[in-house]
Amino acid sequence: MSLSDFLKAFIRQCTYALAFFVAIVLVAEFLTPASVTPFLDPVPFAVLAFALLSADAMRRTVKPNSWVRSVFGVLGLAIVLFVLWMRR
Amino acid sequence: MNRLAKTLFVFPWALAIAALAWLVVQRFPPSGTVVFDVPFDGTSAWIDPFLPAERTTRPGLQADEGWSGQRVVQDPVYTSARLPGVYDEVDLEIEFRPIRQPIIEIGLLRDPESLSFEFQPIWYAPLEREGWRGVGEGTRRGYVRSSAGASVLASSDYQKLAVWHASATSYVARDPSGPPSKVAVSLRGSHDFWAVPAGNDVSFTFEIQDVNRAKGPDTVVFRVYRGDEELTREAVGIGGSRDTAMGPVVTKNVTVTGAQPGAYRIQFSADDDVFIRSIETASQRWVVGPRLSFGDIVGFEPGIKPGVAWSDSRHLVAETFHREGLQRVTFGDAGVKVLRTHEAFTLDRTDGDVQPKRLDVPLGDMRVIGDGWFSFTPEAFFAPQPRRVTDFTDPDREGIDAILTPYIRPVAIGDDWYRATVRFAIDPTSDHLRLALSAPNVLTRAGAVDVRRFRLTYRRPPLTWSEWWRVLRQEAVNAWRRMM
Repeated sequence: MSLSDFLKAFIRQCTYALAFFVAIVLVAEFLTPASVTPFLDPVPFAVLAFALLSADAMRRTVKPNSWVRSVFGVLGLAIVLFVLWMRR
Repeated sequence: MNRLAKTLFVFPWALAIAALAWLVVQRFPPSGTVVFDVPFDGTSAWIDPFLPAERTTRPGLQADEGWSGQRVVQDPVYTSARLPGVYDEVDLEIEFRPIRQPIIEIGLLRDPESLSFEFQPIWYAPLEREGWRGVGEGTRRGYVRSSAGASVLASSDYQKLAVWHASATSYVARDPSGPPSKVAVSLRGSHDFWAVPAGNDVSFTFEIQDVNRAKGPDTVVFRVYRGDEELTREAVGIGGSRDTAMGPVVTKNVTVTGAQPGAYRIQFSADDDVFIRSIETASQRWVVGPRLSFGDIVGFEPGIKPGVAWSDSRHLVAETFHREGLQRVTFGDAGVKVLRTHEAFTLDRTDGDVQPKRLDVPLGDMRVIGDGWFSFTPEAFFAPQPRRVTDFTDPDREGIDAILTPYIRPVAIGDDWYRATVRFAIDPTSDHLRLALSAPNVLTRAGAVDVRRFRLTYRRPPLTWSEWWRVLRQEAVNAWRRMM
């Protein structure tokens, strides 16, 4: 396994672990409001997980195109930064 | 490389599980105790600032004062504390600074339907003065003057005793039986009569009349209580549904035979269309209160019937609903001119005398509410219950030697700031604690209550398997109830 392959696989594992964490947290918050939020703000994690999952899905399904990747990458980063800025 | 990579792939999952475990431990602390020590500046997720906003300053740094928190300038104000799970009780520690405010209480909403709060005292300025000491007498706790013994707390000498969120020893007394005496009165609507038995009986005969100023039948309900126990209840219908003229005078007798020594309360419930024209009783000591409504005698007798009574009240409010009732009312050394209808005028005694004072309402037609009781002759007066501590109570002037109360003096922490702690039991089905801070009449004193910090300590038993099961079950029940 090359270093590049390892990094891709490692980022995918991080994405899935983060998505798993966010899913559990959101279910807990839905069932018992304020069971998580006073300790931890789940929104930045949820947005990051959503962006990473989107990128992962796109990478797997869309024909590689550097322009599309760049536009979606910039948009995703902008959304994450915007949400973090709104909740600062 | 593959082996190392697979090991490293576990790392993000371990991190996610560790974060979840940390959240679970926050929600279910193994010790069963969780503490939130939060500044009261509006930044904490665990307790909200006081509302409504017009009764407080904006939470945060108080620009002119150099401290951070919130100032309460009107009463009452409300806040809400978020519960971090299923807990049995909470210790609420509050750091506050009273400014020209003698009495402060904090309460937990117990019944949302009736907006009923369980209040606990956190500040009473007179007890901060020299000359009072905290004592416990049996199960009773309170404060007595340095010169008095602790036994005053258990006494039924209600002239020297006041209560604040506590119950006093029951009044125990009996007078010898004698001939009944009759008092002509004109009392309007509901009244509570308190009496000491004469011999083995408590007997009252009322002459009542439906004046039919509003159409429709009237029902009078008589209830007799000894302490909190209801002994009898009887309803009497008077007046016809179409009657518009003055009804006949009806005589009704209420008697308790074989009465034990004590104070009996005869509760007379009726609307303001019903007048009591006379009261006859063999009881030598009997009083009315805390509401006394002198009615007119228009259509019953010619002339005017002045209202005269004796009361141990320190503070009265007088209100009339008719122009004919505008007059000067005197009470001891205090007097007030009632200038407008439908407006409460206050009378505050300033003397240091503990004896009942005469109340004169020359034209009648006046509703009077006091913080004591009223008798129609000075000899008949007695105090059936101890006085309640209010923001106007002055123990020095009112001859109070003991205050029965669970109040614990707050700890002075410097610069006029104090720290008080109260404990409340928690309803396990609650998500929030709805709290109220009461500082009666703080606005009229131009006073304030500054609050800068809360420390919330939630408690339940340490986690065991059975406790885990109980807590999880209650969490599931609460989640289900929220979703339904």
